[in-house]
Amino acid sequence: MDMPPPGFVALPSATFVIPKGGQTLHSITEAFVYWIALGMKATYERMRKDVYFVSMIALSETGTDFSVDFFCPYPDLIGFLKKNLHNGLSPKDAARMSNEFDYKMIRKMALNPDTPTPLLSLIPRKKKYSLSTRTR
Amino acid sequence: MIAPAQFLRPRSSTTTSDFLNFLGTMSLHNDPGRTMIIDDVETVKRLSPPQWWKWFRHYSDEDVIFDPDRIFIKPDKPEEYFYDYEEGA
Repeated sequence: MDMPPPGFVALPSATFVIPKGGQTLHSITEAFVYWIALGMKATYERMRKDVYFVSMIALSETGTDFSVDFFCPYPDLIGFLKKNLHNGLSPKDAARMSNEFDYKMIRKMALNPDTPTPLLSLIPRKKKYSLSTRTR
Repeated sequence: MIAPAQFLRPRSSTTTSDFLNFLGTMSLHNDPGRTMIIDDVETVKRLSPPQWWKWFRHYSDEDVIFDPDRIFIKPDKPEEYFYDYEEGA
């Protein structure tokens, strides 16, 4: 084994079991896009620059549930998802809450069960506007 | 937006996110039984990030694309990654 140098930790991850409740693989994946956006807004509110990052999602189906393995380099985002999904934030809730900010979803790949699939996110820096008056 | 195949370039795997993107794209394009032919391994080794090269050795030896237990990050610098595989071990 090639041990990691000091300061490195395992890639943050979490597994979520979500009741199907009429959802499909695509709608669950879209819900994760909403949840990611909400999580980044909550945990990295004071971003000084645009954040681009990739998370990995792998979905599988059982009789009544979806199992979602989620991997992301940002530990705080994993913490947000663990807290809110275990508290019952539904895909519908996430979609409703995400209406509070602008987002654009671009689908470029097929989604296959049990296949690790990358989710690309670009969170633009919060824009600040200032007004000034000038007198002569 | 360019086609997903753009993410299959080893040289682009310099950050954790780009590496995950590479692995995910590889997984989606994976066709069991297909042979990967590399003409000039030394050039690939020279031009690719060292952690990606360790992944490639692991992939060559065990045909594993995504093994999350081997990926490590720095919490204060999440885009810096380490791949746990010792060449020739």
